[in-house]
This record gives sequence, structure tokens and C-alpha cells, in this order.
Amino acid sequence: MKIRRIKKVVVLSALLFCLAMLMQFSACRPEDEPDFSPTPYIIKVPEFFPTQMNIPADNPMTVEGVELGRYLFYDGRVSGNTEPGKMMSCGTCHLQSRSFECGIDHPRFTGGHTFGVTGIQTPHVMLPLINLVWNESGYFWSGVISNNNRNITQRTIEDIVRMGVVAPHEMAGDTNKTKVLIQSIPGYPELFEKAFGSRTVTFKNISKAVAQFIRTLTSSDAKFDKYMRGEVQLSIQELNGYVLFMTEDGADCFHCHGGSGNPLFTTNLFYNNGKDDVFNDPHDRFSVTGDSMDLGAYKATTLRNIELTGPYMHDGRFKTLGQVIDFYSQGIIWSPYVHPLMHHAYDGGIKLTPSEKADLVAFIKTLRDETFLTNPAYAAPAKLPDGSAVQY
Amino acid sequence: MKKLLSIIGLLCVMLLIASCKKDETKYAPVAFVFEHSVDGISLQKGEMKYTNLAGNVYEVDELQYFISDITLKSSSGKQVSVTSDSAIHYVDLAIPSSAYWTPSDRIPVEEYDSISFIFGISESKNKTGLFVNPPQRDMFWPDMMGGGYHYMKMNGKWKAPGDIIKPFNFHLGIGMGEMGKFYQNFFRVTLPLKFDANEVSNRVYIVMNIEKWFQSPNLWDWNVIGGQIMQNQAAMHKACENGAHVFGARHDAGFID
Repeated sequence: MKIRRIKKVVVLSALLFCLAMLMQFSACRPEDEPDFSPTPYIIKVPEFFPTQMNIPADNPMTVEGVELGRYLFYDGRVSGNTEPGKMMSCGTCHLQSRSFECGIDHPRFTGGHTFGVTGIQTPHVMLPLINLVWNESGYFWSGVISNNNRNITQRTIEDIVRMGVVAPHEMAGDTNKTKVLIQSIPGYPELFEKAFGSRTVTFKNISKAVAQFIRTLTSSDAKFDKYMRGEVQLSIQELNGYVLFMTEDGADCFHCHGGSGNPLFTTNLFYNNGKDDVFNDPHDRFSVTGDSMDLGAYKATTLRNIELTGPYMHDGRFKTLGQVIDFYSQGIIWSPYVHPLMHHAYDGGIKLTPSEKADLVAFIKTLRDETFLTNPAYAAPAKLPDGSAVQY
Repeated sequence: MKKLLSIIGLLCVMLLIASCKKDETKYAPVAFVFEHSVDGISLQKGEMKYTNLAGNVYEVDELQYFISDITLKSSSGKQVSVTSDSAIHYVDLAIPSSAYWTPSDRIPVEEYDSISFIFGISESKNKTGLFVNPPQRDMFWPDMMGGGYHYMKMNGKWKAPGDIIKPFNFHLGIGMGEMGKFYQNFFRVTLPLKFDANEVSNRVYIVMNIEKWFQSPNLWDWNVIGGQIMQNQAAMHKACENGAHVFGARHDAGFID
């Protein structure tokens, strides 16, 4: 009788133990193995656009990452400051209406010359944030931020985000201060958890999220794109400009700026286009390669939305497209470092007539992409995660 | 009758065995190395130190081109074509790795006596949209001028009379004639290349002797022809005639590191 009771107790204990273990196991599961499965963000590649994309392996695009990145892109508190005069975000300078450049008419940055929270001017005028997911040749006018950079902290858009926060001529902040501030803002920890699986904010994840958002900024719906898709016709003047753009005996823009076979409208490569004959800029392409042929060379900018992204050239010396075309027509300065594709350099330029200049401008304006400029997915959110209004 | 059936059966089995006999041909990898020289010495870009037969002093700053449809011909008459990567290879002086091409194709181990390839891209393949990614994409040739891709871009400068430095763009591709007529300027180069294929590795060097673009049968004088030829079919035609003599080839057994 006693033995039977002992047996009963043992069996019951074993059962209870198993049940307790099972409950403990299931209770522990959400913490040890959080259910983190963000939704992949797929960039649709338009016809003739590159299929290779510059997306780091350690920062795959996700819907949640892009959403978080959009908030951070437009949140002035990314600078680590909350005082209105000291706040700065990416969106402070990179305006959607100006192709994510500041444009020549920015209320704060007169003439398109940007400066940081401390008033220090940036070394060069801005480049737009457009189709960067297809840029594999380096960022900035010199291309210094590239996968080939020996400095592993200067290779990606993620690195540029960090540089933007700490650079004296931009936010002049520090990454720790930014991280702590963002962590303290209601709504952000939840968004970080959705995007990266943890409510703990790290600066690395701030950079990753902003970079993901920037990679979504793609343009492929300008009038010229519609023409290539057979949806619209170009005017006679635009077609004349197109012929000038695409022919060696015309204005020969396509070798550096792309065209029908390269819809990015830039090779993303670097050329000395004959602006000067003295070269002392410590941030030209030569500063990256050390090759004397790169003295005075800078990235050929994309011509998409170019009519909105003045002033032009690395130092913003030209205010209008007309001035740029005048330069290529009769203002090129010869030096031994001028790129050979600038084949009219030795006699000052391509010598366009006034009507040819007008044709060329008309064609270049077909590269304005209103869909990109007004895409609500790229715009500032109505409210930030804590319900506050966007201040930048 | 039984005997006859047995004989037929035996014959069938023998035939089956004979038809199943394993192909004994051995295959080996092959790699291609692209070299560029002027007057027998390796090209140095950006150096205004070369003189062509017409007396033009010149420098080469950039060199980018396509070689396609490589075929090796064995002494027994077999032709082995390289098919990987759409059989098209892009060479760019600015991208050192492009000077080496190791296709996945393997060649039968036997004696070879010639190599041939297309300079540029043949008409059937040379269509706009073939390359959407850089660097090949940036070789695109305007649709209004025939489309597709440049066969070659050689950019540099020459000293014109009075020591005036002028840029040249020795660009070859589809030519444009009158009334919208297009000319396919690609050409096939055939070179003697005698070698016994090595079982382990084979390197075939394709050498572009740059000075020969400007020699024969057409003397090339930039002061006469001008620096830009994309819209000058007559000049491109002359350049392509010279191109037949530009290349050389040699073989050695070795790996590409």
C-alpha cells in the first residue's frame, strides 16, 4: 500500500516536472528567440536600369528599416540636439522638391552653399540623393566614399550618415549623444525592434536605417523615360537637343552623362572638364587616386532633375543651366589634365549656336521627374514617431 | 534458328558495348590574358612619348574594348569556341582584373594551330540593352547611330603642328552612312597559335600592338583625319582595315594567379 503511494507520488512528480519544464520552455521562447522577421523591401528595376545594386550584405533592405530610416532622415534630433536652432537632419539640406539637394533658392543656404550647425561651409556644393543604389563608383564629388577605400569607415552610405552627424561642417554632433536621444524618444524603440530585432538603439542601426531609406530614392519616370517607353513624344526642339546630346559632332554629352543606353544619366565616373588650369583643391579625384591625370577631376553628376539642382559644378560657380551650357560652348580652359573626351577643349568648347543651346536645354529639361519629386513615400512624414511635428 | 538468334544477340551486345565506350578525350582549362604594347614595349598610359608612322606624337589615356567569339582551331581541324559570359569579354586599362579572363569552358587536350576572335561584337549580339551594368554599359553606342556598344574606345592626345595638344577619341563601332544606312565594322581576327594544350592549365596571351592601328594599310595622321571618328564611317573603315594587323597571340602553360 505504501509502495503504491510512493509510486503514485513519483509519477505525479515526474508529470508535474515535465509540465513545469514545458511551461518554462514556452515562456522563455519569446525572449530567447524573438520572432524577428522583417519584410524584404524589393527595389523594382526599371527597364535598362542596372540589375547590380550597391547594397551592403550586412544591411539588407526591409520595409521596416526603410520606414524607420524615413523618420530618422527627417528628424532634426538625429543631430543630438533638441534646441530649435541647433537641430539638423538630412532633410534640412536634402529637399525632395530639389531632387534631395538644397537647390539654389533654399531659404537658409543662400545661393545653394550649405553650412553646418556651427556655420562652417561644406567643402563643395551638394550632390543630389537620387538613384544612389545604382552608384558603384564612389560617393561625393571625388568618389572618396567607396568600397575601394582602405579606410573601412569610409565606404558606404551608412558611413556618410555617420560622417554627416559628426562633421563640423554638418551636424557637428557625436554619435553617442544622438543614440541616447533617439532611444529616449517614444515610438523609436518599437520601430528599431521591428527593423532590427532589438529595442536598444545603436548608432550603427540609425545609419543602416537612413541608408536604406536613401537607397529607395529612385527616379525613372521623367518625360524622357516615358519617351523611351513609347508613352509620349518629344517636341521637335527636345529631339534636336537629344541629337546634340547624343552625337560626337554635336555637344557630345553622352560619353560622360549617359543617355538611352545608360538611363542614370551619369557614368558616375570622374573627369577634368576644363574649368581651371590651376588645381589646388584637396578634395578632387586626384586626392583619392594620386594619379596626376585626375587633377581637377570630379564626378559627372546625374542630369536627372538637373534644372532643380543648381548651383552647378563642384564649387557652384554657375547659377543656371544656361551658364553651364555657355561654359561647354565657349568657356573651356585648356590644360594638360583636361579629359580627352573634352575634345573641343583646345578651341574653347563645342561652339553651339543660340538655338542649339536652347534645344539642348529643352532636352535636358525632359529629365525632370515629377513622380520622384512628389512621391509621398519619399516625403517627410506627417508626424514623427512620438507624435511631434517634423522640425528640420 | 536458335544459333542465328544467339549470333544476333551477341552482335547486339557487342554493338551496345561499343556504343557505350567512354569518350577518352581529356579536357583542360584555358585562360586569356590581354596585353597592350607600343613598339614592343608595354603601354604606359598618360605618357606623351609615342610616335606613329605619320609622325604624330601621342599618348594613350584610356583603352576599353570588347573581344568576342574566341575560337581555337586544333591541328586535326576541330574548332573549340569559348561560350561562357555570352562569349564576350570587356577589357579596360583602368580595371586591371579585366586583363584576365578565365572562362568556364575547357578545351580538348590536343595540338592547336590557330586562334580567331571578333574584335568588337557581332551584329547578332550587338544590341542596345545587352549590358545594363557598368563598366560594359558605359560602352553604349547611340541608337541614332546604330545602337549597341562601342567596339573600342581609345582616348588620348596628340601633338598637332605648333605643339598644340589635341584630344583624340579613337572610337570604333557601327558606322553611319547616308540615308540611314548602318555599317557593321566589327571584324574577325585569325592568328597562328601553335601549341600542345597542357592538361593542367593553359594561358593564351592576346596582345594589342597599338602602333599598328596607325600603320597599314592606311597611314593614320590625326592632323588629316581629325581626332573624332564616330561619325566618320570612312575613317572607321580605315581603322578597322588596320585592325586586322594589330593583334598577336602566344601560349604558355600556367595559371592566372
